[in-house]
Amino acid sequence: MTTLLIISTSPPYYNSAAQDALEAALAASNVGVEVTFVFAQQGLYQLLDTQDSTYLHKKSIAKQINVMPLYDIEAIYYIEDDMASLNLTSDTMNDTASAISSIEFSRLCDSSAAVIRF
Amino acid sequence: MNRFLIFITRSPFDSVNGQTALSFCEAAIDLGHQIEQVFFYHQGVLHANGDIQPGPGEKNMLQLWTQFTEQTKTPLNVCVTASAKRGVLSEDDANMFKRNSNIHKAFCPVGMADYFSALNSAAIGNDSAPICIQF
Repeated sequence: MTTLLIISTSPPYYNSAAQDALEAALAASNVGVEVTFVFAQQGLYQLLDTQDSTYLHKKSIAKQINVMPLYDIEAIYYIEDDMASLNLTSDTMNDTASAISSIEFSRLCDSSAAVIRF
Repeated sequence: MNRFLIFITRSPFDSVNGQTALSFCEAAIDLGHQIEQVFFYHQGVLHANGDIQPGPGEKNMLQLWTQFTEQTKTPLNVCVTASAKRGVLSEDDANMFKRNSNIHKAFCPVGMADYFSALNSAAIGNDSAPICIQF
């Protein structure tokens, strides 16, 4: 089983990057790739509990993130330093993702066989 | 010799990533490496739009990719879901939506599993691990 790191850096509904990152993760996991998913930079906005896509008529990114563990994607993280830069706090973030430091993120980049960034 | 899996996610109009990827592929093959496939995803699927008409004097990426795959037999795979969302239709999708297909014949519409299965092949078989590069 190979390891793939997907880094999601876009806000949830600003463009199609967040949606395409999630779909790529599911497709990879489906064929047996071990996926690690990291939210970085403005991608952390995808983890806000208060998001509502009803007005935009788009699939809820938050709901899709919540079901990722059901598709064998359990390594889901966000970068703690980016959370601080965006003035966000851990109590407003989706529980599905855990905080990691920038150093731990660097280690993940080093140890993954492939890295894709959206 | 290294095996490369190329992943293109930027459109031909808003970036030079496609052009850079093509230059990389040509150089890698010249040096004896193998480009196992070029996979177009996200905005990168727009590279496969056969209706693209570049302005006078502008580089025709579609023509360049076509020449590249004809000369090197490198598969140019396009994510069929991401392309349909962006109006680049395979024969199957065109029939379903009663429209004309506009994926250029040099490109092959496939599912994302094709790319990730290739990435996973080294773990399953005895091949050396392919190197994934995103443009």
